[in-house]
Amino acid sequence: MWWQYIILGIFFVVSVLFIAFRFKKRVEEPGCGSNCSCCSIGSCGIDPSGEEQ
Amino acid sequence: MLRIALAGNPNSGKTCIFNSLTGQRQHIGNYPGVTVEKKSGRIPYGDTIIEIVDLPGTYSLSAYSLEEIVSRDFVLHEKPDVIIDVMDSTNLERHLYLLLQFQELGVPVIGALNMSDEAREKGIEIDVEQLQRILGIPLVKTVGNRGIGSRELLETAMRLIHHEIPSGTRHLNYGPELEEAHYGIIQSLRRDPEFAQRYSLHWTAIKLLEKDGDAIRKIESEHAHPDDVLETATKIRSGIEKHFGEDSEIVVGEQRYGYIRGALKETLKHAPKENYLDITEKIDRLVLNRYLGIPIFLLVMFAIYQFTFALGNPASESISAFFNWSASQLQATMPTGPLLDFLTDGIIKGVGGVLVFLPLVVFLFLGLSFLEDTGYMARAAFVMDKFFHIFGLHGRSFIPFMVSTGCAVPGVMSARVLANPKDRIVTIMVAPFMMCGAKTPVIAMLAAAFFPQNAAVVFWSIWLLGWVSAFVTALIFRSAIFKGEQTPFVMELPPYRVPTLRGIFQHVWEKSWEYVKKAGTVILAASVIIWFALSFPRPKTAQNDEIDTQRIETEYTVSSADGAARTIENSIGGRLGHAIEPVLQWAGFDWKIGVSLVAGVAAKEVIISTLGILYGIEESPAGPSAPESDLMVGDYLKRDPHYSPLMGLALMIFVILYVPCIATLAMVRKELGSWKWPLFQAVYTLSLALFLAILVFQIGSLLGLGV
Repeated sequence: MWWQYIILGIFFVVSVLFIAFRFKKRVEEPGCGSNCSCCSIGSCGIDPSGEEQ
Repeated sequence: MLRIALAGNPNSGKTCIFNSLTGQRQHIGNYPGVTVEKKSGRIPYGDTIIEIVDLPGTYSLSAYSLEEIVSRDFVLHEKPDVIIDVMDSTNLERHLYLLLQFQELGVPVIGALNMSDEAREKGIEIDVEQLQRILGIPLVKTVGNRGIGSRELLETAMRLIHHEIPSGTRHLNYGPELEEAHYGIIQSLRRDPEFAQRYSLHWTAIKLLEKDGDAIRKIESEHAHPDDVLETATKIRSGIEKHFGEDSEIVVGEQRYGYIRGALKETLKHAPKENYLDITEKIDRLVLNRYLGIPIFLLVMFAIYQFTFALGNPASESISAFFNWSASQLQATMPTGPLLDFLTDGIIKGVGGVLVFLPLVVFLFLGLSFLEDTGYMARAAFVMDKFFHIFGLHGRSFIPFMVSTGCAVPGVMSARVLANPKDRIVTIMVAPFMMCGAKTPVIAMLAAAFFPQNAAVVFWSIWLLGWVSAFVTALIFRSAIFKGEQTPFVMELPPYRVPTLRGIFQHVWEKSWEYVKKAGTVILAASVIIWFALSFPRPKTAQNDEIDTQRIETEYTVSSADGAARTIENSIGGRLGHAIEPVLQWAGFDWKIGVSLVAGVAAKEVIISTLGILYGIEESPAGPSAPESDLMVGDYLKRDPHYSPLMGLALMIFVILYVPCIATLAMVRKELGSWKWPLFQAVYTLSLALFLAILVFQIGSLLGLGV
């Protein structure tokens, strides 16, 4: 059964590193990146009425 | 060198005209409150050089937003030789408003009737000659994106500069009451001859009637008798307000629109065919009604949630069945041990528990995208404007609020549409109270678990509570911390349209894919960590001093058989939960809820995965044949004897209001430039959530409701 603990350990370390890096990135560069789908009305922080003049 | 300024409302095609006149290729996305700069280009004309200046798009010349101030200051202080006001010919009523203000300001102006091709296609015929006569200014038909009319525009400007045609300054007649008031203020202004020489008294008097902050400041700092002038203006305004029963600024605006409507009635012809504008007007009469508008908005949102639950729940059950089947397959094929527990309790109960709610997200955003694409959401912003003002919020705050319905991160960003810093801070502080895409599955799960018969009604009520909390908090902040003037807001109302399937599909796909992606990354990683936090360290047994394979297996089996509950309670997560339980128990929450709420600060969906893992671990000793293995989070909550519908209600209230997720807090810091704001936000949202949850639970318990 020891090998199961090793697999679990790897999962744990990878997850902690992933969350830590993600958190660091979120704090340093907050935003939805290139993905504009995180808002309900299709635009990322842009006034829908304010387009090209 | 001569200077021509291009002005106009946003979306009037100014940049196209600018590019066509200068040969440049500017592409300016104007996000109000962010891009407020002016662009300029030089062109030769005969022996002279003409500088063309492209001013920020603005709806009026009142000093409300940064765009308006930039445009107005340029016109007043830089004194361009001519202003070309670019107007959208398909919406002249709205665009002539700015033109009239230029005329009143006493600057030479030309009207560019832009998008004249679109107007023709829509069956709008403009009698340009007649309109020129009525307005007293030269008008030129243009099609900016094809360069049509640009040359004529330039020639007209040159003729105006050389006084070959009249300059177009005019004094609009505002009707007897306003004219008398206006005259009274002018008389008072004349008491300082120097001031009278420097500024247009007509313009200043009108601005004082409109309570224009910039004009008031000018009087205070530059007029010889500021107190007398301001007192006279206040007295006259009060008389106007009593007479008309409206704010004097609204009365002035209405008079201007009245004049415009009159002018257009004489000069504009619509094709007799029934076009979509007529249908738009008919629908607007109902949805923009001052009494029915807000109830209709609430009803529409209620219908969306009913639709979401009616179609989403059966689909969720199918996904739940799939994950249960996957768990049973794993249990049938893998040997008992920590890896099996990790996969079934940590991954399937954790990530699967979140993915089960995907159909709800799909149907909810299907409904919201439909509303957005039809043009209804713009109406909702319009009818909410007055309501927003009552609570000290700007009408434009509706945009960050609605964006936060998807995710508070772009919601906080979109508060940039607010030019006034106080409006912006207050909006950022309260927008995370909205029901975001991450809170949606949590509230949906709790509503369905504790109120299966009325899940949609309860869900809608919690959504409404988010709005009410945002309004009340904004009112408190506005009256206690962020005092200051409010600014009015003009909302463009697009015509109603039948949404395209492609457009709706794109919105829904993006939103759903984002949800799945989040489940497969952040939620997965968080579930792994939470499973560990709730599984380790395991309680010590008497003979665990030596490490050998046989002992680990025995210990694991013993641990599984004699008390998973003891394992959890001894774990890091369990200890944390017990540490905060004394506070949370006042709201009816036990340590398990406490752990999931703490984990939920990472991302709100993690509340579901944490509860799934907790119950998964707790129930796992019974083995795959036990009925519990078929249950998902909501079912566990329903069956737990410690929980009641009253506790469920208190929990939903807590979840909608408490600390925004880490990503939102980081965005608040970025937007407001300091950690003090997100810290303040975290403290007051937690306090408010706890206070209301305790209040509801304690009052409900006293009355014996839902216990």
